[in-house]
Amino acid sequence: MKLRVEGLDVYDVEPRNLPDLLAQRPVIVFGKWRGEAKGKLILEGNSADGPMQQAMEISANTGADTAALRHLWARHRIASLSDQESLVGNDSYSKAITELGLKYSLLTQYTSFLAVDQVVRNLAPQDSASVNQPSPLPQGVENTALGAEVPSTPEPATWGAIAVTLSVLAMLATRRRRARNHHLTS
Amino acid sequence: MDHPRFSTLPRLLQNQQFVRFGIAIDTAAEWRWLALLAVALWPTWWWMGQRMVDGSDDPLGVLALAALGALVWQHRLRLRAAPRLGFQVAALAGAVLTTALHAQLPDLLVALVGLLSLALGLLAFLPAQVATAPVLGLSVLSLPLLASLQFYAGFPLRVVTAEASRWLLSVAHTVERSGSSLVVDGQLIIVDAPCSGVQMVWLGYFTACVVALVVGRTNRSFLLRLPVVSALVLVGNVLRNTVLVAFQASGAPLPAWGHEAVGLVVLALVCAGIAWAMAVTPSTPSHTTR
Repeated sequence: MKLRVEGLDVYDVEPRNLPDLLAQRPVIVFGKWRGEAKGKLILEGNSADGPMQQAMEISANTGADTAALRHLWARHRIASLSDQESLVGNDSYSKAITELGLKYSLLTQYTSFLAVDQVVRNLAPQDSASVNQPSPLPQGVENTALGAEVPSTPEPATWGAIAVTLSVLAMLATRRRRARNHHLTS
Repeated sequence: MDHPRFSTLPRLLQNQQFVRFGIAIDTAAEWRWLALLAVALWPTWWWMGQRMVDGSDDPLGVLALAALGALVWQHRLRLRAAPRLGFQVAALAGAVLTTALHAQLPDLLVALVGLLSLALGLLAFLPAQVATAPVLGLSVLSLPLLASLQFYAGFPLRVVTAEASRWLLSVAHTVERSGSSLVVDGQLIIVDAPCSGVQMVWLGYFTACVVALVVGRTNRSFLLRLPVVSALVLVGNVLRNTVLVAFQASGAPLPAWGHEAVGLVVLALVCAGIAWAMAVTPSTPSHTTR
């Protein structure tokens, strides 16, 4: 199938090549245009009964409420670029995808959303009431599945250990002093 | 005709200012040298202070620095009027090297060079009876070492401790070891980082250095006893771990203060054992092995 546009300067048409059209399916094409909205879209192809053609007039009144089309075009464009990038196997399209994601506020593999809630609902968390909420475990699942505290054998606190070590050294010094005094007086 | 290099010295010696400068250098008070050395190492002090304040390491190094200070204070009346040149040159070279290596090597290695040079500076003025090895040992212990020791030696120590505890506990319990964890009678008990005994290692070597200096051990005598220190620390940590695990496995786990008490009692025994091992024979100061 082929799409031809007469009387209108169009660009960035998606998809670039129209796929085969199956029965009861629509033809969906996105694109942009410059200048006045006028002209004709002509769809040509070959059916089982031979060549066929369908034309659609474009006027300024056609589809006045088309705000969503901008995002649909961008999403389709991003999908095409992402497919192409996967095919090539590098990130050569990352810049184009990122720019589209940022310009049209869309989620892509390089852009994400950050939601900042400006309204603080819980002004005093410490005043909140604590509630013990029962949470029965499924049959056969042990309490250890919850990551309960596992006992260990830590060393004593640093300050206590320092105090004990210094005490032992002080006792040693005292014993030496006594032994020396005893030696001198005996 | 004299070589210019040899003719320069007599000419310099005729210069009164140069001679006065030489005399001033030679007769400079020891505290000036040490103070200048300490000031030259200020980036190291800054880094060590930051490590201590931001909680990235335990403040045990202060204890070793205090011990070095106490050593100098103890010998303050017997400090050498003229420094031992070998130590003095090495200390100054170390200080220069510390400055040159700053931001080139990891901070811990740079601080190691700095503190060793400080120790050499102290040894240059300390009496010859003071052994060098314990002083160097204290300078190494001054470093913020514990976090690095925990990172590199923590896991092997935990595995050895857990395996020894498994062996001891298997007398009365069914024990399996998996990594550094024990499963005692079906109950999982972990020997995690705080159980590795690294703190006891530090305090054990600190005790060894201090006692060696107090009793006047020679370098050889001190170094020969160091394996005993390691063995006592390891045995102590295994004993502490085994007792705590045994209480846990018996269904009567000790409260937090009980853990502390057992740990402190074992530490006291280990330190006393190390002190005894270092002081067991009367010291016979020798000038030949310093």
